[in-house]
Amino acid sequence: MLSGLTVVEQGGFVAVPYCARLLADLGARVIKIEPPEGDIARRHGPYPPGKAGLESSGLFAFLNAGKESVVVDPRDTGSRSFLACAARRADVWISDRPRRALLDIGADEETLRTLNPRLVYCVLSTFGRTGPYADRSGGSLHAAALSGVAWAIGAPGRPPLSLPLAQTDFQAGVHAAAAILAALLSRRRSGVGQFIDIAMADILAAYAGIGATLFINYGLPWRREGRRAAGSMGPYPCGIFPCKDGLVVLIARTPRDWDQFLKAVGSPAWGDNPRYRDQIAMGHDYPDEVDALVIGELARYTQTELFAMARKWEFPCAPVRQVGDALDDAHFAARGFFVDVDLPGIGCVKLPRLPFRYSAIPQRAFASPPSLGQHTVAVREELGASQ
Amino acid sequence: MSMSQAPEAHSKPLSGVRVLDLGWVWAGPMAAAFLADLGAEVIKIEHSERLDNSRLRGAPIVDGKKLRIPGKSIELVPLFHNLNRHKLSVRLNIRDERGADLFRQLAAKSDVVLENFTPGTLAALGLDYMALAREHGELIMISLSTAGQFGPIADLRGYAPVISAYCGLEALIGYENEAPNGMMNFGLNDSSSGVHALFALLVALWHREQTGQGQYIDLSQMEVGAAPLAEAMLDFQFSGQAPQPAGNGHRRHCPHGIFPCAGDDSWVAISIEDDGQWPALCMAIGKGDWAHRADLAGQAGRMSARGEIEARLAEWTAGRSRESVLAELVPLGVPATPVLSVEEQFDDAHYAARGVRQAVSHPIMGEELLYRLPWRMIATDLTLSASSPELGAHDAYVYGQILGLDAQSIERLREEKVIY
Repeated sequence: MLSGLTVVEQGGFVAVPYCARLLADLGARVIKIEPPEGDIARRHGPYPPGKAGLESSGLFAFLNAGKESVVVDPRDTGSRSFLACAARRADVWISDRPRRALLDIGADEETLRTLNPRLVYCVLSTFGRTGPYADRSGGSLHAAALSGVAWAIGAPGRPPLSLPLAQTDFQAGVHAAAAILAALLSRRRSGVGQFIDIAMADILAAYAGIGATLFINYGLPWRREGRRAAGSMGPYPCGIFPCKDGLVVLIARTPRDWDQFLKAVGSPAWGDNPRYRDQIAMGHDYPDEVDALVIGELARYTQTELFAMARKWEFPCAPVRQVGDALDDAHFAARGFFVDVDLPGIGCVKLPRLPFRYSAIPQRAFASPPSLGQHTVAVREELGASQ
Repeated sequence: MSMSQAPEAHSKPLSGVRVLDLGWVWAGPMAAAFLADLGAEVIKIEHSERLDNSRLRGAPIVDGKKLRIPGKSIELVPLFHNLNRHKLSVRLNIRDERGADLFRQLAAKSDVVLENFTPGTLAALGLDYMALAREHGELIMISLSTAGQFGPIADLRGYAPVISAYCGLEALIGYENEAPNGMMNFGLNDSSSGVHALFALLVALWHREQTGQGQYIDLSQMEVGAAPLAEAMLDFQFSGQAPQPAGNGHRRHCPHGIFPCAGDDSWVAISIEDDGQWPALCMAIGKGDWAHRADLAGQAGRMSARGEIEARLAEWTAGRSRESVLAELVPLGVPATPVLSVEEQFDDAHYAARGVRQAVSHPIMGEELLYRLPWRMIATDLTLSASSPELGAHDAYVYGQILGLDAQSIERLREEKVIY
C-alpha cells in the first residue's frame, strides 16, 4: 500500500481531488489545502434536498473521503511559511493553480523542489505548462473542443458535444496518479523527485487521435452522425437504436457479430439478401435502409430481452441505461461495487468503490470527508508552522 | 525488481521490469503500452491463428492509395502501432500444453502478467494467477475483463460502447431536453481502463518493493466506466430523478457551450468560469450594459438568464469567422478555443509543441507519428523508441536468451506449431 507517503493537495473540483483520492484510498496521507471559501466542489453539489451548504456536497464527499482539510488564506502573511513547512514534509505535491498564483504564494515547483529535492510535484491543467495555449484559462469543455473529441459527438449540422460531468477531469486525475507513482518508483533509484505536467487537452487528444486511426487512415471521415456511426466507421450496423422500451447500443461490425444478431432475432429472410451482407456498403451507401430493418427487429424486444439475447448469442449489444439502474444492478451488487455510507450533513448514500481490487492490499472503508478547515490547527502544530 | 536488462537501461521508472502482455484489442494492449513507455520490457504473446484483432483492420491508405505489401497486412495497422509501441512480440500457442509450459517458464522470469480475456480462459489452461503464483510469490497479475472476474454478467464481452451504455454514460450525452445521443464512436472506456490498470499496477509494484509481496488485481472495465459517474448517481439518489443530457451546459457556469461561427461546420467553445471574465465578454459582444447589471454579476444570476445570454452570444459568434471570434475573445482572457476536427488536431501548433505525437521509425511503414503517454516529466524520458513489433520478431531473444532454449528446440517447436 501507499502508507507512509504524505501527499499535499492544492486544488479543487474534480481532477486534483480524484488523483489524491486514489492515493488516499490506497493508504497515503492526504493533506488538502483549501482556501477560506473552500474547494469549489463544496459549492457544486449535488446536495440532499433542502440542505445546500459547504458541508453537504455529495461530489465533495465522494472525492475527499479520508483527507485532512487545512485552510490556508493566500493573503495571510503566514501562508508562505506554512506551505514551506508542508513541502518539506511531503512526498507529493499536486496542484491545479496557475503558475502566476503559485509564484505569488511561493509554492511554485522551483521553490518547493529547492526546499525538498525529493518532492514529486505534479501540476494538472487544461492545456499544460508549455505550448501556445499554456496558461490560458479554460476547462474540460475546451479540452474536448481542442482535442477533436467534441467534433465527432452529436448530430450533423448541430453543435458538437463535449463530455459531461467532468469526465475529462477524472481522466486527468487518474493519469496524474499514475505519473506520480512512476515518479515515486524512479525516486527510489535516483533519490530525487521531479516535476510533472499533466494537461487534459493532451489526454483527450491522445484518446481521440488513437480512436481516429480506426477511420481516417482508411479514408473514412471522423464526424458527427447522431446516434450512429455509419459512413464514419466502416462496417455497419454500429449505433444506438430504439427497441420496444428504450434504447440499445448495437455494434455488429464483424461478419460474425452481424450473423449472430440475425440468428438471435430469428434469421429474418432479408438477412440473406446480398445487399445486407456487404457491411461497408450498408454503412456507407444505405444506412437509413439498414436502420429501418434493424429497428424493425429490435422493436419486438425489450432492453432486458435484447441484453439476454446478446449474451446468449454473443453479439455486442447492451441497454442504454440510466445511472440509477446501475445503483440497483445485481452484478454491481454481487461485486460489492457500491457501498452504503452514512455521511454527516448528507445522510445515507451509495457510492462507488475503486474500479479494481487487490488480493493483497485491503481497500479502506469509506471515510467521512473533512469539514472545511477541520485539521487546520492540528496540522499546523504538527508541522511546526506558526498561525 | 528483477535485473533482466543491462544496467545502462536503468534510467526509466520501470527499467528492469518484465511484463507478459496477453492483452488484446484495446484496453489491455494500451495498459501494456503505457508500461513499455515507462521502460518495462513488455513481451506481447501472440498466436498466428488467433491474432489480436487490431492487427486485422487492414492496411491504411497512404498518398491516396491502399498500401499493399504482400504478406504484411497485419504489420500495417495504425491502431495496432499506437497500442503496441515498443513491445517485443513472440508467437506462442498457450492452448497447447507445451506452449502453456513455456508460458509458465516465462512467467517465472517475469514481474507482471496482464490479460483481458473472458474470465476463466486462463484458469482452463492452468495459467491463472493461483497457478502461476504458486512458484513465484512476487508475481503481479492483472485481469481487466469487461465486467470483472465474478458476478452474474462476468462472462460479458463487448466493446467500450457496450460498457458505457450499461453503466449510464451514454444516456448522459446529448442535447438538452432530448433523448440521449451518446458518444459511442471513440473508445473512452478502453483508454480509461488502460490508464486505471496502469495506476493499479504501479501501486502493486510499489507495494512489492515495500513488502516483497506480489498479488492479483481484478479490474472491471464496467466499474471503470461507472466510478466517474458518481456525481450523476448522487444526483439521482438526492432527487429521485435520473439525470438527463444537458448539451454542453454546466451546473454552475454561464455562458458555457459550443457556439456556431460563420462558415461550414465551424464552431468555438466559450465559457465564463469566474466573474472577472464576464465584463470583458459583455463588451466584446456589444452588450456592455450587461456588465453593469448586478443581477448578472455572479454565476447564479447569469444562470437564471442563461437562455438570453447564450442566444445573444450565439448570434454574435454566428456573424464572425472562428478566427475572428478567437482573436477578439482570447486577448480579453475569456476562455475560448476552436472546436478542432481530428485532422486539425494533427496539425495544431499547441499539440506539436507539446509533442503529443512523435515520429517513430517502423520497419515497414518507415517514419510514422504515434501518440505518446500524454505526460511531461522533467526527469523521465518518455520519448518513444520504437513502433510496434512484427509478429514473432523476438522469438529468438525470448526463447533463446530468456528461457535458454537452443536453436534446434525452437525450430522444432515452430514446426509443431507451439511457437506459432
